[in-house]
Amino acid sequence: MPILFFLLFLCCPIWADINTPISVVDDTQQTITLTHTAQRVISLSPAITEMVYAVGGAASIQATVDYSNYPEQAQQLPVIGSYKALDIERIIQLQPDLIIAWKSGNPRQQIAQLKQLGFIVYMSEPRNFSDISHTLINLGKLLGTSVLAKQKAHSFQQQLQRLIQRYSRPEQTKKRVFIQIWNNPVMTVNQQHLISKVVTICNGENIFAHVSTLTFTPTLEAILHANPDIILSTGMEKYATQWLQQWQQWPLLTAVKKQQLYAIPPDYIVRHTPRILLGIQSVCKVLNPNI
Amino acid sequence: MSYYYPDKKYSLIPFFLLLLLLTLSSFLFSLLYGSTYISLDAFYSLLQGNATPLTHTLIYQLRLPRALTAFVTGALLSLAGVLMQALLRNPLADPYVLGLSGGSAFFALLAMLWGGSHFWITGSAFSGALLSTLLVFFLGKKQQQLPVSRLLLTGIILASGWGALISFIITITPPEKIHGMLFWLMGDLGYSYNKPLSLSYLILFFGLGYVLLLSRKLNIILWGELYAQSLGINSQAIHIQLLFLSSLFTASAITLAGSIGFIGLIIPHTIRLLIGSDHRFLLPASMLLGGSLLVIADTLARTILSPQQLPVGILTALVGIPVFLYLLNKS
Repeated sequence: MPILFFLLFLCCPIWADINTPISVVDDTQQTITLTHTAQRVISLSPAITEMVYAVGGAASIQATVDYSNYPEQAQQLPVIGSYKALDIERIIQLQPDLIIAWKSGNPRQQIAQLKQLGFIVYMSEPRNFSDISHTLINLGKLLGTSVLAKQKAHSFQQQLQRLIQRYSRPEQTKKRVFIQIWNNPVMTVNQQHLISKVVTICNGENIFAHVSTLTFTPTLEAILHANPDIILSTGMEKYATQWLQQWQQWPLLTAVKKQQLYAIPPDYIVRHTPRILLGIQSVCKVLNPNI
Repeated sequence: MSYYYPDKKYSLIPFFLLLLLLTLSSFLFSLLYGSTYISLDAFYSLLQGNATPLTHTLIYQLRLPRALTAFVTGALLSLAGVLMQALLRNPLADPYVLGLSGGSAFFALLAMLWGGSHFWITGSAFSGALLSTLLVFFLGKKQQQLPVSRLLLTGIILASGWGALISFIITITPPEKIHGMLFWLMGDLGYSYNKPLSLSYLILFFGLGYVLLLSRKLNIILWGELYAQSLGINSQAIHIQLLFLSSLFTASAITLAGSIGFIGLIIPHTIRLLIGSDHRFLLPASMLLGGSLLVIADTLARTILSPQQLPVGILTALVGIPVFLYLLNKS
């Protein structure tokens, strides 16, 4: 008899988890309320797809958008368009009970339309590393996988702190880095971009940190004048070498003289997901070969 | 020759001297200004052969080739504009009205979508422009004649067709490639340093010479076909030459700098408002003004928001339109 009571006591929180309404506040400060844990989730960005899998949502996720290439299972999911152009009809057909959107990436009007149609939309807009852990925790609550999500968030924070401490060298002069995110035209980012923040953790300094636009086309002149110590390209593997090769025609650049031209896989470094730790590791290794 | 405007020949000398001065100043402006200002002193010591390697690279490898490309592009577009307006006897005609830019843009974007190299992109832009011209020519032709209104209508319809195809390409393009496409569509001189200019120089040089030889006939066909015929001029043959020369000029300009609007429309009209429409003077003056305007616009495009750069097409519009409206109002 006591054992039975004990079992009942154990199952109650789970039972409660399913039936009491769940409320979380999303990145636009809207309260999202679900009557039960989400069973049919649609992700509207490749990064969100990664996050859903990270909190153990493999069973709940029903569909995603183009380029959702990680984890590998995600590649089998139905695709409802690209993050910039959603197929609303497909979304309606799939009858999701939760849509996780990317505020600055998804078309605003389509998101408004989805809300109007009565779908519950969680807006995600991660801006820094700590947003990754709070999004993990929020998604865990919505998907009913809080325990795992909290674990993931905690271990992410721990590993992040470890990396920050490992590479923190305030006494050293910072290496000046040019971050190339695209070629033809050459494009770079300012300090608000995730990649630039990774470079900062790794003891580097983005040469265009203080420009007001998040991503922009710098003049070649400005790059030559700023004379970076290192050029990091985040092109896809098949292009990156070709991009970096083009810098060889400017031997004036310190980065070219010392052959400090490196490619970082873009997936590691442009998505706000726990995989950013891999990005931090690879950038830090390049910037600090001795640590 | 001079029976058209007997007094013009010599009274225009100061005007052309001013244009030459403008051209030289535009070059000086583009050489001194950029992400960093190079002082006249530094520039002088560069000419004497003792400058820092950075200044040397900035001037000789970046700014000078870029200014030359801008000049040649602007000059080609203005000439093409004059020819198109003569061909279509329509003040709204510009190098792009017959769908040339549309055709070349479609093929260039297609090459970008498939990840083609620079060579492929410019090559397809050039072939697109020529293909578009041939289409206009063969579709617009009627019983061995090339009626102007039919030509214009065919061109405009083809242009909207290309426009639809361009929108289609942009829709199916992965988002990260779109920026490059938009930059190309608005004109971009950022890659001047590794483009072979020599062919464009030749086209500009011989093209200008050839159209100057045609200029008297151009003046005459503007009075109408009957009038031209009565003077023994075969206006059909001139029309065909005009169509192909303007296409060649436009295609070479597109190959150099993507698609840049407004120059071909605004420059010839500005010159007409200033000195009249005698093609003997209109052609070289348009070339000089168009070239310098693009040099100035490009320098602004890379300095205003430095270290960011803007597509030069935005600046040609911003610089060209107020000047043009002012002149139009004054005339």
